[in-house]
Amino acid sequence: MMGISSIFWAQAHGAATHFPIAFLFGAAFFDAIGFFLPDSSKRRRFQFTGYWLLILGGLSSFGAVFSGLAVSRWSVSGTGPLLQHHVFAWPAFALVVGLTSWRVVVVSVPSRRAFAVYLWVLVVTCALVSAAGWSGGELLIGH
Amino acid sequence: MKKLSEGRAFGVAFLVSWVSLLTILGVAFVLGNVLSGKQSRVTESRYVNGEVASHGRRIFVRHCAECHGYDARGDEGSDLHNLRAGDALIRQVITGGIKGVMPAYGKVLNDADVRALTSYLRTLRR
Repeated sequence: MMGISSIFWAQAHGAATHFPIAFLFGAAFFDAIGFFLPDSSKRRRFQFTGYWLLILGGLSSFGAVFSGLAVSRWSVSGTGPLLQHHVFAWPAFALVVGLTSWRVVVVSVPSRRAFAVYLWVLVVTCALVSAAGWSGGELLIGH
Repeated sequence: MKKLSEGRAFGVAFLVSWVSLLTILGVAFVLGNVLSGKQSRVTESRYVNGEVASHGRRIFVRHCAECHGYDARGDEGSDLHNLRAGDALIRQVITGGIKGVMPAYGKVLNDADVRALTSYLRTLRR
């Protein structure tokens, strides 16, 4: 693993991070629309899509984190822009895994109040993922 | 799979997220300290806050990282940590290149860019 060049890991991280970003934003979009739909059958369909997108986002986040650690040579904190990236990335990762786990184990039709809390946390997670993505891009590519 | 009430599901989710996070951090810690060894760890000084060196880092990523590696520890090109050459020689190599080994960047980078890149290279210490 150490013989693989840093360019490979930088490119792999660049590719791998876009999967959880896309899946999470997709999940937030479908879950949010489903939440506000009055028709229960349509709501279920949207939330079914959101559910699977969130699971894919949760699974792909492990690939993103692993490749990111490889490109930083297993540094979990750092200084300057690297530290800034990690400040956003670690809470985002924990929240993604937490949200995915909640959706997997919770009853099929959670209460409206619980789902509203879930949606708010998902929005916060999307914001953290965006910040991590922005700071990561600045770190690797710059202006 | 047995489905849980919202409160219990929250407890499980909280536990799983912490276990995942701590596992990942633990694996990174082990790999960073044991498998890869201290020398191959990221030199944090390269993530500098100084304006000039930060500009140098951007230039490095854009023009040099492809051969010297994003961490400047060498790939096709050489490891750029702890350069013993003086600033004048470093600038000469950047602008004039090395025949058959490294392309010249004299027409690509201006004086300020070369100075920033040199400043950045000076921050690279083991």
